[in-house]
Amino acid sequence: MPITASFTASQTLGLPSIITLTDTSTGSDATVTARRVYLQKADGTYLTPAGILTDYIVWPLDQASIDIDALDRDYALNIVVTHVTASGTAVASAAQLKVFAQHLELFDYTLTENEASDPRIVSDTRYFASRIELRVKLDAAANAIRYGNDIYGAQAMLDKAQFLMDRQNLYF
Amino acid sequence: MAQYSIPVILDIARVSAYLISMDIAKGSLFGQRVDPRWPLRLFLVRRNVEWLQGLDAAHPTLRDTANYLFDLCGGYAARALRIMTAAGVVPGDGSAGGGVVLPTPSPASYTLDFEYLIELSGADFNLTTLTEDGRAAHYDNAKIVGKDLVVMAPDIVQRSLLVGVEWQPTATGIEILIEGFDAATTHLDTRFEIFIKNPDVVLTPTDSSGGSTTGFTYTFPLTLS
Repeated sequence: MPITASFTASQTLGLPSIITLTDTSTGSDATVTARRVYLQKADGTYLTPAGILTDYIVWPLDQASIDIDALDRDYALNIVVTHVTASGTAVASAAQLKVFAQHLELFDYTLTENEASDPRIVSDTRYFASRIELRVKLDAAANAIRYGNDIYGAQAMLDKAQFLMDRQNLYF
Repeated sequence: MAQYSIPVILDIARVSAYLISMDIAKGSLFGQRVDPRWPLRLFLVRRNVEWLQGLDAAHPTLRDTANYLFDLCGGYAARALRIMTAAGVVPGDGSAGGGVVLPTPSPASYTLDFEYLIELSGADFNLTTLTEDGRAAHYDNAKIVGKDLVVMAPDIVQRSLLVGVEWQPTATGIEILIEGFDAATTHLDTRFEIFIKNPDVVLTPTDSSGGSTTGFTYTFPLTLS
């Protein structure tokens, strides 16, 4: 039975820089010797962990899942997993558009925790409008992928949310 | 003390948000203004709780954050619970702690012989009895005659219309005084909402000298004080 590539991608709470991929492929192919993972960003470049010089990350066949520590911030990614032969020829591949927004979600959650500790912060000049904007951008990023398969739109929303988080002393 | 499970708190927050939103929409009817940001605050915190609940229901901070969400619902939480109970969404979903089912009002239902809200459009106006300058501006309805009313026209202005200035009671209903208003032509689709504030109070407009009945002082056109 020929190989049909598929995988799942997830994150673990509290580890926003790590993506966990789990292989759910079916079938087999004796010529396959490795898997490659491409984390393609909206601008077409590839995201890789520090120290990896290729566009892809090697995912050994004997590992059912792999943790990739590459998210220095939140990204919308086109994840491609390719099963390749020894010569690097692709035999099967699967791709998924995903939004990884745990940095920003954790930040937003922290804002609520702070608010619970001191609700008066809601009265700060920019606080409330900024929180609304942050939430709208986060939801928009997810919806851009879910409903539009729009990695560019998703990344643009994440960038705007990131802008707020990077300047939290001004906006929150 | 029993406390509500987090899924129940999330439901309470959802229901509370729409209750608050409704009260904001009708804000001018009640003496107390409702903070228009309130449902948005609920939304923001609810999304945080939903997010963490979906990832790690046992997270050590989740309970405190959910309690904050419940607290944010304020007095609307009790109303939300009553609605959830009536809808069969039983508070306390079997998880540890469970919940408290508020007693439903007795009797369980009421028969109302009056209406609080009458919704209409320009097409419901009297198109045959016109004003002196030939406009269709009369709305006739025996239910509102002599009643303590609030009239709103959300397509025209986002507040209640000023009695005596923008509308006035008539012997058969009300007349819209807004300059240029004509239900027969330009305002056929304009929406109106007429709230009967105190159905038991009957006002009887008489003349411009003013008078007093059932505790209200009035003049004609009607002004309440």
